[in-house]
Amino acid sequence: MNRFRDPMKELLRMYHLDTPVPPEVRKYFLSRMGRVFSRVMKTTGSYSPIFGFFSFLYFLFKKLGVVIHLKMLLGIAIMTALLGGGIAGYFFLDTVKVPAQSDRTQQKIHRYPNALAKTEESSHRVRAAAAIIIEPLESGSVDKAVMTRLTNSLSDALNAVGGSSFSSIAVSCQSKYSLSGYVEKMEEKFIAFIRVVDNRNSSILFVTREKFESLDELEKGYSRFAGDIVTRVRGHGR
Amino acid sequence: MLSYENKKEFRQAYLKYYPFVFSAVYSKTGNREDAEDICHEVFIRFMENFMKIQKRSGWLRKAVTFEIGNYYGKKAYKVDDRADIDDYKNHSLHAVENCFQDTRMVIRDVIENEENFTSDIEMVLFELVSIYGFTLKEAAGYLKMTRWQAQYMYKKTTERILQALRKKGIKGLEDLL
Repeated sequence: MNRFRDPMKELLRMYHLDTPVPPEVRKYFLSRMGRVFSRVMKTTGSYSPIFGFFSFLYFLFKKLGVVIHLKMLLGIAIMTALLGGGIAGYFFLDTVKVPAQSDRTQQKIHRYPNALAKTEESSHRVRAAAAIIIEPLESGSVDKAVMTRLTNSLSDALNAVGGSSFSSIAVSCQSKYSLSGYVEKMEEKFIAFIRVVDNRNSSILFVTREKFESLDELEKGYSRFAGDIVTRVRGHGR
Repeated sequence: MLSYENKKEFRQAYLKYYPFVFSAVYSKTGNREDAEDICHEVFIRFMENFMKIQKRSGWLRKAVTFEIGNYYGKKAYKVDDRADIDDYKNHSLHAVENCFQDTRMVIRDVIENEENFTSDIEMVLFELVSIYGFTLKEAAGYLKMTRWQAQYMYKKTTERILQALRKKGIKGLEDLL
């Protein structure tokens, strides 16, 4: 229509009622649209990083003249987040070399560096899905080095009864069962708590709480636990 | 504070009215930086009252006038430049001296009368194209419509305005032009 005569425009121009904005000024304001919006949102306290991100995309596409609907925008944002997350996850796993774990477990592994070392050594076994996964045993009263030793002993005891790849120290979603527990020291005595859980339905398969006179006895007791655990796990699997 | 859904609605409204607001402000101030600051103030006020406002274009027009006065009022205390504010206030009134003042007032009444527009968007489209010199394609882009929809809407609005002018005793455009 602008190519043709527009009587309304002529009328307004004649009576000085029009105030045309030059094209370069329109372009300038268009380029500032997103920034003014962010300023408004920040001043009113309505700004949030997520909304800011969506708005940035929204105004960017508008500036580029791309017609985009909100659902498409959401799709693009999700794809971007997934791609970014995927890349970040790849580099993270490549650095840590441990299968995906919960924050809680990572924290535990940091507390048990030796257990982590063992986990790294046997990471290929974990990926091959060990029957049972042992979470590093916890304690508030026993030395970390001793706890690492106890965790490793328990794993060895289980592997001695159930087979070399029966257990592994770490947490893996690939395993059906996980073992967790703690050991506390009271004077010269040790109290051990061991629990085996079916990861598929969180049901407890095996649980024991026993008192031992010494550390050596505790480690010997593991062989007994191991026999019971292997029997329960294999019986449960059938 | 607005909910997430209301914020999204506000963003869409912002996109629709931003060109209208900055054009209105810039045409009165002629200064990009001042216009941007005033736009900012207008949209803060707009957001604060977003859910209460019925006729958004009318509300924004009044807010623009108010915020320009407010902005230069504050600025005047800083730079002691009150004469310029008075100039601004009187500028539009004295712009056309000895030039069909009565007719001008009639036309102004008609194009500013909300009753002559069937919707808010129609009013914004009309002002963007006929007053601020936007092309139909540009205006259509901001108002989320096709160029042809904008052209049709603009044509209908123009016809309605001319009809309103006829009612005021102005029979044809030839009488005015």
